[in-house]
Amino acid sequence: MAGERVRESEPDGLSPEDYAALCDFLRDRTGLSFTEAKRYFVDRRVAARMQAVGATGLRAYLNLLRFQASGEELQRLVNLMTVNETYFFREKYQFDCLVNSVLDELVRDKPRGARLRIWSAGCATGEEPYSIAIMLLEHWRRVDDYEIELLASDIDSAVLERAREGIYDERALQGLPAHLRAKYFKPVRGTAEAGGPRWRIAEELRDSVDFSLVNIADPQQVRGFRGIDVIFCRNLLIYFDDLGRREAAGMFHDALAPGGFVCLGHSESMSRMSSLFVPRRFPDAILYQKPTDGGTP
Amino acid sequence: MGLVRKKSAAAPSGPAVPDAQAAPPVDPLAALEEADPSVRRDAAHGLGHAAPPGAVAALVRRLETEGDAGVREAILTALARIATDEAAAALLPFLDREDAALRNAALESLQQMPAGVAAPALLPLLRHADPDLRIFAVQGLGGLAHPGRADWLAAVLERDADVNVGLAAVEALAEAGSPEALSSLETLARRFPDDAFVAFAVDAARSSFNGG
Ligand SMILES: C[S@@+](CC[C@H](N)C(=O)[O-])C[C@H]1O[C@@H](n2cnc3c(N)ncnc32)[C@H](O)[C@@H]1O
Repeated sequence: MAGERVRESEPDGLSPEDYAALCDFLRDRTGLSFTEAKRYFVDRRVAARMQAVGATGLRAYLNLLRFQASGEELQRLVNLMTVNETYFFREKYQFDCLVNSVLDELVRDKPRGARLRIWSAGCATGEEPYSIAIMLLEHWRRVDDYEIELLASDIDSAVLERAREGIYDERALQGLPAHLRAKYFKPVRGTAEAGGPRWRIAEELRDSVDFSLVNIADPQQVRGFRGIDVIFCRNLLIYFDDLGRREAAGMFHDALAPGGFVCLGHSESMSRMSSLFVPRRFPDAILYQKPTDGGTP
Repeated sequence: MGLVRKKSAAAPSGPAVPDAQAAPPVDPLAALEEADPSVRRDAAHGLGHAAPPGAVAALVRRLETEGDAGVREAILTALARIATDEAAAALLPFLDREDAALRNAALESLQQMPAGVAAPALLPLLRHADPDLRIFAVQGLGGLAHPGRADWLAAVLERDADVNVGLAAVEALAEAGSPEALSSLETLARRFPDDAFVAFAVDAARSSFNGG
């Protein structure tokens, strides 16, 4: 990063105070928590953005992030800072749990034709919600008895674009059995200069997932999600600090219908985040449930 | 039926961002008293982040009567985020409540404050007349990343008249994997030679330390 030093006096990037100020700002706005150990990762990305917008110092850049009415620069920085790694059928046991146990329990008291809402919060490039769609169509025998709404959201506008497009490479599809690949994907023709072969997911599936730009650290943006039956929020809260996780848990509690469920990634445990949920052990997985009485003591 | 088609392919923001801009500005202090729990929850969240003057007092006042679990949680999280001496002090009276869930949540919020704020609030409780509160203080202090931690716990082991408070201190040490846990147990065993549980715990700890 030779020619793009942030400050003359700081050849290694941001000063400790500046780094702390930036991390505080990002934590407050996005929930993402960067420690000293992530400095290298953060420094490089911020330096690149500062150079791109011609900011003379971190103060100037922070002001741009704070006060730019369009919020465009914050979005660009966020897009650089998020870790979007995901693939089809990742942590599949939770999808198994959904189709083997959870959905049947959820519809027990619902009339045929009722609506079920499933939300993938932090969906990245879409593999998670599309995997859910495939699992429902393939393995839930009552799929046609209900109206199932699939919502998916992310804070990163660039990954949402790709999710809507639905084009994937070999790596993303690796976990998918061959017959499902054949059934739901079509090879993308054209030059393969961007790497190996790619596939596009069926239009029927693309049309069934409603993608939207939502920062789950911002209650204003989450407010539209109500009466959700199942929230998948996997491998996202690991980038939040304790308080951010607690706040996110509160938000999910608010968004869920009574009796609704949250699925977290395997390394994440709700009991360390919030006491609002009851852990439920199913044959395939442990999920967290909002009590059916809404949890009011 | 089956999978519902998304509402509109064109609308990039889907259902989630309902004219956030158009919402009229509300006073979050007043919103804490609104009838709708989600409005109260959002108000608490906002107060935690912006911490305007009067925020702590208003949050605590609401916590006194709040019946909704989600709003309570949001208030406690907001106080943990504000993390001033005032916010820490405001949580202390809740450690004394009948309601165990509220007590635990208040302690958890104290622990999520920086150790430099939580410790001064918790330390005086080590001298409280009620042993239950002393146990709480030990648990709270034991979970803090603070350089004084080992000394406070050692002092409890040496001096506290209640064996259960001592055992809580041992547990706090053991949880952190401190090798001092065994010697502190032995300290406790010397002070309470007739307590069968202490004797049992010392034996169990000794064999686990020796046997690996
Ligand atoms: C590692 S991916 C996980 C994807 C998928 N859920 C999975 O488990 O495979 C984490 C995603 O969370 C998103 N994310 C991070 N912070 C967020 C926030 N505050 N609100 C919404 N999404 C966020 C990132 O942009 C990224 O796409």
